[in-house]
Amino acid sequence: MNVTSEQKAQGIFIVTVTGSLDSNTYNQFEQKIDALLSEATELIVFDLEFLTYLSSAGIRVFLKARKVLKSNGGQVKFLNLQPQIKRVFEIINAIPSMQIFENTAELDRYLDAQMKKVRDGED
Amino acid sequence: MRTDITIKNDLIEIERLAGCVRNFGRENRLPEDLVWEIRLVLEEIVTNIISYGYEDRADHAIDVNIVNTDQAITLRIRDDARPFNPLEQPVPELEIPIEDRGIGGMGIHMVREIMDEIGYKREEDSNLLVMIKHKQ
Repeated sequence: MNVTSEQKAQGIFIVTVTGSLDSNTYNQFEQKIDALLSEATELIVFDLEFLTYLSSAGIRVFLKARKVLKSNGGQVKFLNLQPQIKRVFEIINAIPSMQIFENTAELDRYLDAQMKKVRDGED
Repeated sequence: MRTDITIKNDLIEIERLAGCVRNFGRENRLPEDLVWEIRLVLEEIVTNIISYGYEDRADHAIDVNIVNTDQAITLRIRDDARPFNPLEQPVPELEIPIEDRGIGGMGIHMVREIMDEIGYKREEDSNLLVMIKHKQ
């Protein structure tokens, strides 16, 4: 299991998770993203294209991230869910409350729109 | 066909258990979705047993058995932990860190969603959990 994060813009991060997120690895994942769960973070997008397995332990970390960010007015979204990963989210009924980007193009459009809003707001 | 796997009460065994499930799936030509579900269910149960079932720090064996027939997949898990049904285990809220409260029963919910029949029995010094998933 590997976690990398990239800052896309002020307060916006893409976190890429690869490998298996299970009862054994979720701890490492949680530690890696704890630093991102601050007031300064507006959005974390989890790119799960190379996530091969997800169980409730991993989902708990996603939900925690969402809870913490939400308390500061931020949010989490998901990108590139593989069919079986999507199924896990569906089983626990988490999809309605999470937004999912089907692909990177969709994410980029969203980010462009967000940044445009910020620029326009500054005029 | 059937397979029997004995693991130690250590979360690091989850990976080995997953490998055994994948091998079993291949040997029995099970659909990938089903293999995935078996892996999920076993992980949830075994994690609960390991995390909450023992009051000592000793090594314990957990026996996992998978049987595949044309009609169904049957999973059996036997452990020698305290009298404990991992599916009814409502972890006392106080033991859960604040950010996790309210989402603790998720693993249990997943198992119930995936499996069709679930039975728990206490037999002498063992807990025995039997779960069945019917095939189409």
